[in-house]
Amino acid sequence: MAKNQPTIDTTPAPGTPATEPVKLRATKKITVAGCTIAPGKVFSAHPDKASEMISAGAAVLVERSF
Amino acid sequence: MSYIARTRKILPNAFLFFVETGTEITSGDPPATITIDALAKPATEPADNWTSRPCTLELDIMREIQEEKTLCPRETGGWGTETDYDLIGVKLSFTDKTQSEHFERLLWVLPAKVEETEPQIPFTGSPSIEGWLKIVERDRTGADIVYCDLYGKLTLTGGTKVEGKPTRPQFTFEVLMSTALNSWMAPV
Repeated sequence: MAKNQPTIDTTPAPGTPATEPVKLRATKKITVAGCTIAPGKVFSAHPDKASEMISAGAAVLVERSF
Repeated sequence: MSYIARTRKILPNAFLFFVETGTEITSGDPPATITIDALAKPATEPADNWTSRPCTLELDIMREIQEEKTLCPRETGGWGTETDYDLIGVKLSFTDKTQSEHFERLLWVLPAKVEETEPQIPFTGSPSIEGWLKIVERDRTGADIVYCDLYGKLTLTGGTKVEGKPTRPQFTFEVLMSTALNSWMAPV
């Protein structure tokens, strides 16, 4: 994670299934779900995968899906 | 492929594959969902993500190059013309051996994919289909010589004539030059 970057909470709201996908925007060229995506692409991912990508600086949270 | 191999006389053929924009691909563990567009391109594998196009009889790669002539001063004195060449567009033209879902949809300008026994209102859809075109060129020994993925718009060139010979649908694919995911590769 980049220095001084705030921790982003991708956990779903109470009552929302833990597997509810979260919406992300790619910040660099990455491979997700067998697809190559370019920076700026908005996509959905499982919260665990989303946290992983945000931590790696590969994506940012767009909005919660709830 | 080595430079020497490239200088050999070859007779390439081409196989085309297509994936339409708006196609959703869900994969991975935990899963993620990607909607295909100019910013998202499916990997070559699994091949199910791509639809094989019919046998390609002809493939023409047409580059639109703009020439700009400028009068520049010569170091030896006087003026001389210099020409700059800019690539401003690329279109592919190809001819299929057989009809296809793309052909029927574009000919009748249908609003949705053709499904058997599913009625649609003709001439209410889009005359183009956007998506990724994968070109695989192969030499006479069966070795792949070019992989090329391009994003653009597929249109039907002209219409079709009902006559006493097979229809050979001809398509134009206009490449969107701005996507960073267009790719070309010569496999080793």
